[in-house]
Amino acid sequence: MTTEEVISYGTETDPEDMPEDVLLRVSHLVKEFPIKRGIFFKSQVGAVHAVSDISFQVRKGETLGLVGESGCGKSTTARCVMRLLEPTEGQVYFRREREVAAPGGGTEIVSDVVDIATADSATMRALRRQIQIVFQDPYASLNPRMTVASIVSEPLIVHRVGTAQERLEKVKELLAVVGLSPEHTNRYPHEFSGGQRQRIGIARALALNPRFIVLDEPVSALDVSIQAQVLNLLQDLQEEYGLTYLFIAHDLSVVRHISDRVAVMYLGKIVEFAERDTLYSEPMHPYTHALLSAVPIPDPELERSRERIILQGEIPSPSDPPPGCRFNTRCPIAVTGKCDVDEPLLSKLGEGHWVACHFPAVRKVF
Amino acid sequence: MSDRSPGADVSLDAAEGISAEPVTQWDLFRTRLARHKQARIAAIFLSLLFAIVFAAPFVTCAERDAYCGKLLEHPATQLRDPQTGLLLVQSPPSTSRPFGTDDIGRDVLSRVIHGGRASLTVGLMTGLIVATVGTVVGALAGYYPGAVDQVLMRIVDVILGLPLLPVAIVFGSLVPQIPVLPAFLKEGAWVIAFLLGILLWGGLARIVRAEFLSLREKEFVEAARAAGSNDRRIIFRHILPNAMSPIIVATTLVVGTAIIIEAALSFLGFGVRPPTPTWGGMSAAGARVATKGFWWEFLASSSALVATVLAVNFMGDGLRDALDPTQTIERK
Amino acid sequence: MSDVLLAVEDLRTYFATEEGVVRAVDGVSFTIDRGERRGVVGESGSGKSVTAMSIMGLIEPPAGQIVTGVINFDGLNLLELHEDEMRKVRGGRIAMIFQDPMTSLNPVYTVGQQLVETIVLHQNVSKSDAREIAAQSLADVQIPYPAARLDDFPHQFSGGMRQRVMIAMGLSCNPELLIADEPTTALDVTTQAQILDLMLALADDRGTSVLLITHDLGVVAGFCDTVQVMYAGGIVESGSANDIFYDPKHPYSWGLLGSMTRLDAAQQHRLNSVRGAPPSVINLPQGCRFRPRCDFAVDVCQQRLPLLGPSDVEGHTVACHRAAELDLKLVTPEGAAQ
Repeated sequence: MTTEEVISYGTETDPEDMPEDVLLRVSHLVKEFPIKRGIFFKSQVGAVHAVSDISFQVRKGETLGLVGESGCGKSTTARCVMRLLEPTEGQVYFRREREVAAPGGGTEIVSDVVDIATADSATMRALRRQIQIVFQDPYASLNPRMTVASIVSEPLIVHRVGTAQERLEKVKELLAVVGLSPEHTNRYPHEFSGGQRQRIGIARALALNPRFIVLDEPVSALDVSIQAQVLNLLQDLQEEYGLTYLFIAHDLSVVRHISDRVAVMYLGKIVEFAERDTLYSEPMHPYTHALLSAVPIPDPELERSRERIILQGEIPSPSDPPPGCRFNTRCPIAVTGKCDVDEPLLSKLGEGHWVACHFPAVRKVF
Repeated sequence: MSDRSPGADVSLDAAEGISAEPVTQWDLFRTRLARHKQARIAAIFLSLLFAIVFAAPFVTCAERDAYCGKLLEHPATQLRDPQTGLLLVQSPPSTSRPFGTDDIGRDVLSRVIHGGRASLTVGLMTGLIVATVGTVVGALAGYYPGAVDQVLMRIVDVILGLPLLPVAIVFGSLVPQIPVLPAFLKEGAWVIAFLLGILLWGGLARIVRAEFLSLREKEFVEAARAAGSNDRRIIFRHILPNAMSPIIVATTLVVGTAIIIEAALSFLGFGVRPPTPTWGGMSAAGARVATKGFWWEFLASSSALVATVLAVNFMGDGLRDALDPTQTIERK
Repeated sequence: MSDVLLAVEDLRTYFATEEGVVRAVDGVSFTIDRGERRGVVGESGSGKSVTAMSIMGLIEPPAGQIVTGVINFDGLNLLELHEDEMRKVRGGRIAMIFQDPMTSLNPVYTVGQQLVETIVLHQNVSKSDAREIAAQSLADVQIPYPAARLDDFPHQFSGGMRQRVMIAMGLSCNPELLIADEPTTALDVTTQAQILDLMLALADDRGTSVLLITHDLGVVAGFCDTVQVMYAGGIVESGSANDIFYDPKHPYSWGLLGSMTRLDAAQQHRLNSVRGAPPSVINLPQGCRFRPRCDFAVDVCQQRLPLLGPSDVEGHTVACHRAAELDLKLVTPEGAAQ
């Protein structure tokens, strides 16, 4: 490992050198929520460090899994990428496609890179046709006072696509695509089960033919058998429409199933980043070890013989993250004087395998 | 393309369990409201009251001394005995005059019905003003936290801190002297409605702000934002419809409060000026003679007041239950 | 040789709702031996939680009613006990922990006050002795500084710590049966591992029987000796953990296992999802309740509700008309789609 590789990760801030096959590049993203006190003149007394300087790229057509426990900043990252939250620092480059007038008449599609974090509202509005999101809670993410037709056609109305009749046709088509009956356009969300509602949410995300979809825990609120249906649907849609996914989840087995590459987050930082199979078979960060060993596997013999790494203590508060490595307070191999002082950088330890640990080592956990 | 469309392995099955007829929010609301017995009775009572009170001017004589013998007399008409020609002063309830007459011979039933107009006008107009101002201010404060919220909510604090009756009494006498106001606004009931509207919107604004604060964080609002919706669309299409239940319920309660305050002002002599009848003013006049055994005017006017305010509050109760999302019939 | 602690026979618990009668638990029979750890798995609406509530006597009439059934706990029929007798059993000999510890702890009392109250109610001890027992039970669940933390309020504990407090409260009276209803569902996976580890050690140590209710087959695999799978108010399959996981005989259990994403899956494959959604418990389908979603259904499945009966494996029961002829081990997910 060379020093150059150590510092190169995520430092490419020039959008011009973003490779053609990269759709999204998150560079040094920071999101802090100020903690304010006072009644009339609120003064900032601290900050919740939800996301602290993370960088990653998503390639066209792939699924990048972003996994971690509650409070690790994965959902905040998703919302910054969508610009539903304003990033405190950093860039979110997206390779957009635009239709422009061709020199010889007609139009052609050109692609260029735009920074979502600083895009003005007109640019952002246009970008929203290409980037969509599916939310976790199928009960909270659909407006209870709107019919299925108005929910799914909302993006079409906002972007003034088609006539009312054309939009209704599109809604019916979308409902069929996600496995719902097109006759249900005038129903309200409360008439549907959780899995059906999640399909409505997916139909809404597909309405504008996006190229990139952020999936924020799309199956964690669903029953196991319904989870499988929705995961299969998401994979079919990806294949069919060439979609790129950023898949946020806390469930490592779901992430393994659907992702091509996986990033593990802990307390606002990416601690390990690798190709899917590398991460699960050769994890190198002690947090990844603990996380993987804690996931139960539906196999009694294996479960009884597995060695579990039980982490001690609790996850520290993101408003007061520990110095040095953020995992050092719970790490079984932390070295006092090193890990609680120096923050480890994300270093390349194999082909496409990046680990932020002073003492990385491969450990089999199942 | 693959040989099956995405989701084909579950299509139609995934649509199972949806009833044949769509059940709208409105259906659910009506079913639940109809099940609320008190609200049902209150609704019938209020509809009848409205019909009678606002139809009254059309079935009475326009001239105060005409003594037309119609169903209702003009509220200022003094009744005389047809034989003797004497004023029928303090005549007790009878079949022809079911609520009796007052101390100068006016028919109490006619006056109670005509007097209802002031009460109901004040109640409805105040409710309208409160609903409009409170919703707009609360929505802005809840949707734009920071400076907008701070300024608006401090104004609300001041409004809620004002002592209601003294302010109403002082300004009630000042408002009619403002030259730019149109004439109808200088009439007693309208002045009071206007004043109460300004004094009572603070509570609703706080409720709406709290609703907006929580609703703006909901995922469906984020979803609308992710689709590219602007603030106006999010506020009017997504948040406001979901905040309607507390707005409707709180407004109903304000209507009841306004009716009582108007009565209190008239009772104290600061509300609508005589000879225009009001329930508060009649209660005051009736109370003065009730101790001498002439109890009917007080009983009739105060009963009308109590029954109306109770009915309005029962309506509010019923609406709250009917609009409560936790009572939504849901399949989970 | 088996020493039966709890025997539930033909339990039926119904709820009256505006839309009709919900048959939440409809003919459930099972037994738990002393020291046995039994898992109850099923999706939402399968009746697993209502079964637990029925055992605990927490079904509130008039909405909910236990229509028929016998719940025999160590010779006592719990359904015939008087409320004050039941109160002694509940929390004393049978303890229950819930999914959300915050709602089961009273926020205005300290953890110590709540623990002492439970202990005094069920054991014949003085308040100061009860406080010592309380501190000891917090120490048992590995809460640091147990004596000092007795004076803390529930909100001063993290989610994982609160669930430890609940376990401490549940185990403080040395119950013979611990019912855990989704005890780790609200927790992060590393905290879940801590809690399961702790429950396993404590139950083992004291020989407590455990009824673990969960939707997570992985949790069951590591924790339970025996498993019963519930669907739409009934048990469809019951047996040892190995039987259920390696040789499922009911198409639903088989489908459930196939629809799980696995951490150790060597390669990405299409999940074998169970099609459709669970039926509404008001309008249960005729015959076998799983039939509308079953890939193997035949005519008889529409006509008769299959009863839980023995299979070719000792102690492994299944409620499926075709259990004997189907060999689900040989069916690949792709093959089932035909």
